[in-house]
Amino acid sequence: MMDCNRLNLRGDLFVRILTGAALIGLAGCEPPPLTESGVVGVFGRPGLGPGEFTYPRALTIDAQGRVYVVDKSARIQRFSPDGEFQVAWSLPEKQAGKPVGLYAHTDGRLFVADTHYHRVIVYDFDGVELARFGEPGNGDGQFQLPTDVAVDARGSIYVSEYNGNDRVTRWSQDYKFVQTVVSGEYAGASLRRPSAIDIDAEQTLWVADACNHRILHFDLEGRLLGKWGAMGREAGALRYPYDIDGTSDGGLLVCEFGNNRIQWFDRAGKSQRTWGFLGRRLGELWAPWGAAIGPNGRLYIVDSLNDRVQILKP
Amino acid sequence: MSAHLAQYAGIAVGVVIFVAAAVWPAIALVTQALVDGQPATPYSFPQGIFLRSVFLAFGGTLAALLLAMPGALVVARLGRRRLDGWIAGMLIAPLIFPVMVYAFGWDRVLKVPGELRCVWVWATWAWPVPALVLGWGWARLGRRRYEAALLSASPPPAFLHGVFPILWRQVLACGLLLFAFFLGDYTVPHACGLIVYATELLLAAESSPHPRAALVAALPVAAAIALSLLLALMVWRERPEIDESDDADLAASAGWSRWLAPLLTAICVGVPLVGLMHSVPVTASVAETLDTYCREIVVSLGVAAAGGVATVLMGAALATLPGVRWLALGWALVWAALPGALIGSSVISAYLRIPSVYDHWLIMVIGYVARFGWVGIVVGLLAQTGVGRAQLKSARIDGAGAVAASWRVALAGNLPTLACGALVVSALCLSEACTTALVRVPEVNPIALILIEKFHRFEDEILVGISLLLVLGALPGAVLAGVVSRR
Repeated sequence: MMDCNRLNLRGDLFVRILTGAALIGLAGCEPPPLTESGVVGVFGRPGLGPGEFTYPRALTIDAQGRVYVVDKSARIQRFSPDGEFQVAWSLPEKQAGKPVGLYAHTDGRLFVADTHYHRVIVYDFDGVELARFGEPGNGDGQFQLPTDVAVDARGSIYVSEYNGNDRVTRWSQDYKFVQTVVSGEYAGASLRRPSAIDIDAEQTLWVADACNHRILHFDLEGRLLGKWGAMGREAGALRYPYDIDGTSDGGLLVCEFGNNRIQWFDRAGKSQRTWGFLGRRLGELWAPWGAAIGPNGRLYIVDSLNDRVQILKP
Repeated sequence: MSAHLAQYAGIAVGVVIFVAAAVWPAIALVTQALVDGQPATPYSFPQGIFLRSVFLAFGGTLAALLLAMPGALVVARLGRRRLDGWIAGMLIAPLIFPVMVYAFGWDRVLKVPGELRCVWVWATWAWPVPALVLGWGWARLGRRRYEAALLSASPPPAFLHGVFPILWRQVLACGLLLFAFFLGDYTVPHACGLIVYATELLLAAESSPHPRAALVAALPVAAAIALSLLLALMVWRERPEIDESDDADLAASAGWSRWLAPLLTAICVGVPLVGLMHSVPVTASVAETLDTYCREIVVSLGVAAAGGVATVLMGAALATLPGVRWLALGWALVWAALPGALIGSSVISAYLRIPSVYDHWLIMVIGYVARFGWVGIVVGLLAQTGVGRAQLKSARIDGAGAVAASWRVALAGNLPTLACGALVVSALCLSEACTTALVRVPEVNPIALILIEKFHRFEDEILVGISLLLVLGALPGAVLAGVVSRR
């Protein structure tokens, strides 16, 4: 999409973005927000070059605050916490489709849910492949369109998938299938495209049940602890939650693709606040696909149809 | 005075729309491409994909021509003058339904490799076009020879030896036209899970802010399409003179075969639709679709309707101007041959620096006019050559100027044709996915793109719901096409 060219047209805004991004990099210097809505930085523009995106759709952040973004060209790009491009590499194959899930583990492994090749590829943070696991199918040790990866405190790996095989499976540290943790019907509706999973500090599993427009909460053995959400546009309702991330207070932030916003919930599922609405300008979102909170406390949002990542000070 | 004012205002608006949707984007694309210079990432020509696209388009063309023969036979036996309007309408109407929906439907009933399904979908969707063209030619040129040949041979050899030597130009022209269309088509291969050159082209246009990238990438396919159209035109111009005296006493010989073509149409349309409806609970799917995407559907309908009206207004206005109409038709034919991604890029190049247009739904209307403006011009010309020619002559004799007579007599007398054209173009806009993928704004989430999104994410319920709504949206245009063809 060419929409981000608008940034170049609005010189004053562009200067403010650059200024803000530069200021973020200065240690101890708090940059002024670029917008009244709290955006403190933005990076990316349409294209296939370094630092450019074509429909970015997943992001993760490592322990050092570096941001990894994968886009529709099947490239993974790494950025500094203030959005400076560092390194890029491509998935080995991309004709069948591109990945939609990334997870950076604290031990230096980057898990890529290589969705359309029905596998997970494990890289180090510089793009060197370490391992891959999974094969196409519905059985044990197989995937149908994996969407996201999470790792618990014991090192077990969890992978969500969909397309008639909507479930979350657990894998051992050495990438062997262990068991299916979540699948089937919960609270009157079968799981429909679990698009994101997250394991919080209390070692419970959150699942974004995207096509049911709800969030499911499990213990790591797959026992349902809670659920909330229903299709809608008002606060508390959800519309295609595509990504989730735990907040420091034990709550959850939800990236809503369909409502073009981020919504914060407490642990009980009560909506705390929302941020963002549909648009092209800074502080506005267009089909946001992913969001994650960095170690610096800032929220990074994949603003997919605007081909950029917005940085927000929550 | 007010009639004069309305006439000139209408023409002026039409001309402005033409400039805004066709002339200015073309200029902007070329100048922007020249100014931009080389894109950062050099374009590498995907030779394998291009060859595969050519092969698929050729397969689709061949299959459509073969499938058209029974329909052509029916049209030939009925004769042009006696061709039942409803039969012609039934042949034309399915073309208005979004072809993507056929692809999704066949996907559920035809478990074959994507390449074969793609060829089949193209053929079962497009065969009425060659059926009508060949059938009319057959009736006027080769019917007697065919019937004479039937005395000593079965139908296929009778066609080959009796009819083909006379009709080869029509066959070739139809084939080239279909080939040109299939080569530039993005939706059917996409819905069959195939990557073709049009897919690559859209990706190139989407992933680069430089229109030069899209322009360079479009050149091979545009050249192939233009060559096909040029050949088709040359072949068509060389067709022999027509002896229409052959067409006198044909209706009696039609018999049961008059229903063969509608039956084929019903199968080609019905099977994919039933396949689609059979795969999920229809009522629940439509209800969920309406519940989830009610706003998007309403907005998409509104913008598509605006696109349909603007397109036909432009076509009607251009067709009114005596010195301009054939130039506009020529322009429209060339424009029609261009890939959707290139048209999208040109519209963006033209309006990127005009926020009042670029940021609003208006740019989508312009994009639709740019994509289907050629249909509008054809509709305008049809209206000029439709009913009312006698009145047109009378008006000229009474002293009316050419423009005034065209506007007040020919257009006013052909309002159903214009309304039908507007509905048809609206239906086409509603299901347009390629140009719309580039020319889109946040406030409008076109349901054609939602449909593709659901296809990619295997959300069958919403996919079926939107597909059926798109067919429903095309239905008024299809019905009116039938009514108008009866007149």
